[in-house]
Amino acid sequence: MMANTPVRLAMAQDAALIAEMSRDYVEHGLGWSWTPARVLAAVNNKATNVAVAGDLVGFGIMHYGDDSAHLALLAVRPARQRRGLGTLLLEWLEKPARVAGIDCIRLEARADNPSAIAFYRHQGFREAGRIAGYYRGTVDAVRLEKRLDVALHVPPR
Amino acid sequence: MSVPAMAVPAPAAAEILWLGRCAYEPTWRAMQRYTQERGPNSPDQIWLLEHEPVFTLGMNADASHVLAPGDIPVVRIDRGGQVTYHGPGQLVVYPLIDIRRASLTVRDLLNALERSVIEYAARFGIEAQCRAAAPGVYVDGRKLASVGLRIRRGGSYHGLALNVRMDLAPFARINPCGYTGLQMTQLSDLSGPGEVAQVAAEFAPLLAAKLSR
Repeated sequence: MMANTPVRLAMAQDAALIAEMSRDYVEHGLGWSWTPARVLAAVNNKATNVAVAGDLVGFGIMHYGDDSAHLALLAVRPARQRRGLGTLLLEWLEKPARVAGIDCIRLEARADNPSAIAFYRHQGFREAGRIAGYYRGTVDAVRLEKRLDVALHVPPR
Repeated sequence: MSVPAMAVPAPAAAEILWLGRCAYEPTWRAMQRYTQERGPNSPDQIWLLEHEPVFTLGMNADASHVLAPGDIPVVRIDRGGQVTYHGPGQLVVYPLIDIRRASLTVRDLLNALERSVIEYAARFGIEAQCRAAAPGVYVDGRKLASVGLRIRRGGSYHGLALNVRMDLAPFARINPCGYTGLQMTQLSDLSGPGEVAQVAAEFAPLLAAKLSR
């Protein structure tokens, strides 16, 4: 069923729901920095892809520079987790980075979210530092990096 | 007849250049130079050509995927992707696009390249597909076209390699795109056309139309 879940670029009308998912699933306890206006700006930014899985069961936001990319947000609804949707979204967001010769993807994850950190480790990310009080001065961030130069030995799906 | 005082010029369509048979390195350097030196009014260009035999390794490619290059030169270059082969009988398409001015994302450019190949192949009854996670165009699991790009100062270079009618044997000397045992295919083996210049002439307008929308 995972392979049948389509991933697409978000449209303007998705911004409010994506912002609510960020507030509820990512930013809980930290206020709300990814407001609908900020998500909408990301949707309209040509250097950023806002990806949506299926009927908005998950989403991800990646910003592409010339040499590195930054995963700003990635979330899957709790009831739909552990079925490969996060992997699907991440691969979809990584594709243009691989094509364009971007060699590194960076992100910050909440240090108090071990399952997210375990997910990113499983996806090939390695810890590259800790930032004390990164979120509102109260929650630490773990910085994670994935090198895209790791050769693949299995055919792509 | 009245002319609007502040007419906004429509973005000019990309110039299409057929360059014929080209050595790899000078062409690569020329793409870099064009991208480095282009200004806000420089035209977008689509270069179409075929290369002398060469293996190219993407920036982050694992050199161990070049198994036995033999007498074919290996060049490490500044595009995304792993190792690939270029040679006579393969159409190479380099879109030199100011993607910011054209309001395109890297994904738009990638989609335009992949979909142009899929539409072109469909003219000959060939069902080609792209994949969600891996770039390129495939027919029945075999790779018909490869894509690798570079963005500098908002300008794209490198591009697409579409197998037309070529000696596919050199692909067996590498793990194409980093995948062990990935099989390649080409248009002429799929009841498609076999002349690179003809494919170039028919393919370029398809791509240019997608980039100017």
